Amino acid sequence: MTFHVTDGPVSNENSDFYRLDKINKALALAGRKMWRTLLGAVAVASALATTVLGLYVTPKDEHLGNSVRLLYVHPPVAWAALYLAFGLTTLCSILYLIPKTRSPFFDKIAGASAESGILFLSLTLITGSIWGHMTWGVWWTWDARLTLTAVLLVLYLGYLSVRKISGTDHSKAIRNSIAALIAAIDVPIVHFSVIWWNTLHQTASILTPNLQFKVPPSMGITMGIGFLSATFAWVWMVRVRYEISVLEEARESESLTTLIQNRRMERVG
Amino acid sequence: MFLDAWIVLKKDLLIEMRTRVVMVQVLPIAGAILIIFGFALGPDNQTLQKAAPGLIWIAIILSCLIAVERSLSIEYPLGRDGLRLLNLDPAGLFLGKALAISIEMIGISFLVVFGSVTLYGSRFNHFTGLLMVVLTCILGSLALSFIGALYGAMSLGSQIRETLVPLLFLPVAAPVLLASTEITAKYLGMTTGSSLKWLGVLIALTISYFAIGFVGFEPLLEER
Amino acid sequence: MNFLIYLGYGIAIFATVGYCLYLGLKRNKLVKELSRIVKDSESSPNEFTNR
Repeated sequence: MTFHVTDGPVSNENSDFYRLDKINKALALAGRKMWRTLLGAVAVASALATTVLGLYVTPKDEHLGNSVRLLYVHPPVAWAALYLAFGLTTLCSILYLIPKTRSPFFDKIAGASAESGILFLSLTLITGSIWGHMTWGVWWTWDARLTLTAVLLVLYLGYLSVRKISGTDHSKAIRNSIAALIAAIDVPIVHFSVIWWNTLHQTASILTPNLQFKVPPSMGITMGIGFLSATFAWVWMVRVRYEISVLEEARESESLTTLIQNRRMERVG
Repeated sequence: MFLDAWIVLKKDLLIEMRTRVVMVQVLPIAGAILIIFGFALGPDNQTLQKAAPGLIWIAIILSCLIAVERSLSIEYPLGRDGLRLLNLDPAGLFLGKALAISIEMIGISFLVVFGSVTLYGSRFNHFTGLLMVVLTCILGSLALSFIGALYGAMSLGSQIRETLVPLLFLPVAAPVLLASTEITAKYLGMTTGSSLKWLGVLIALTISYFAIGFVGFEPLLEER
Repeated sequence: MNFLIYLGYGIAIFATVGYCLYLGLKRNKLVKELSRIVKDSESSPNEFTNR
């Protein structure tokens, strides 16, 4: 069966070759398993190690008692959310907004990273809330850091809904990038909130080297492994989420192409 | 750019002068919010006075949300294309839109503070207190309008604009609320201590919201 | 040991593993779907076009 396109411009994007090329590229990306599997394995192993060490091996703290065990989870997930995930989202959004470095790649990575950031930030709030209940006696307190962190969560949820607004790829990406920049203003405020306001939440204890000597080495090591596991898990999530958005894009262009071809068939037939 | 900003500002304010939507609708809403808080917290003047700084700013933020909606619906028939067809400098367009909202908001915020004085019996510390609250109102209105105008342009033409703008706007307004409430509370005699730090936060927020809007408006209106 | 600590660890692990599983399954589904499309078009290359 044959048909000839005689009228109207036909973009290259609708050609069979281009379509399959896109799909094949997406599949090839998803097929690159080695690093991803390795990453996943390291993440799982270190998460298991953190759990076992944190729950059973490390000693109780003299002041905090058992609740210190939550500190092997809470700071690592906060680190993954605030600095890794939202940091990468911000960086990629800036890179997209600069015309020289503009690439759809950055928009996809920004979205992927923000999504995992929301997961980690929710975990930060949940573990922090449990910690608060055990040490301060309340689930939630209207402390500057806590409040601003909750605001941050809503900001990034808003960012994810901005991502869902329809438009062309480019206009969408621009919109996303600007929304990400607005949301990013809150990240440094959360970071410095413990210094700016004398809040209930203690200051960052990892960045001050003096404190490190006070804790037993097993605690420090466990916390370090916790940070590693959160970092690797985050990288894995961003990678797989990125693969998904590439695959989805290929599928969308495919279904669009099929629709266009079916319509042409009708006309020819 | 400033000329373009002036044109848009004049246009929006002229529409407002003719239709008086903000004056006869948004302003009464702000008043209604104050009165409803009065009902909710009971007739105890002490409680109301203590809560007044927060209530003032909640009323201002909610009315700003409505003012932003209004500013968008002026452009509604043509949406983003209409803004682009004006063929004005995007930065000027942003400045004009935002300043129009902020002028309305400054007026509303003064009246809300006045309403709090009459309804809740708030009293200023002294004359500088009044000046500081006025300054806070101006800065707060500017910050809210900048971010409101930007989000407005972002969601223009979207099917879910009505729900999206509040979702985006309220969290961004939260730091503004925090800072301005603290300053207002200080000068209404609710808290002691320095409020200069908060003024700094408010100024930093205003500047950063302005900067993002200034930079971001152009790509938002760009060719799709 | 306190139940709340287990709860904290439990939620963290459950949520992370859950999200990862969701991502992995979604990815595999897409891969399967797209591979089928590629296979179909390879087996009948002239169905739609004769380029």
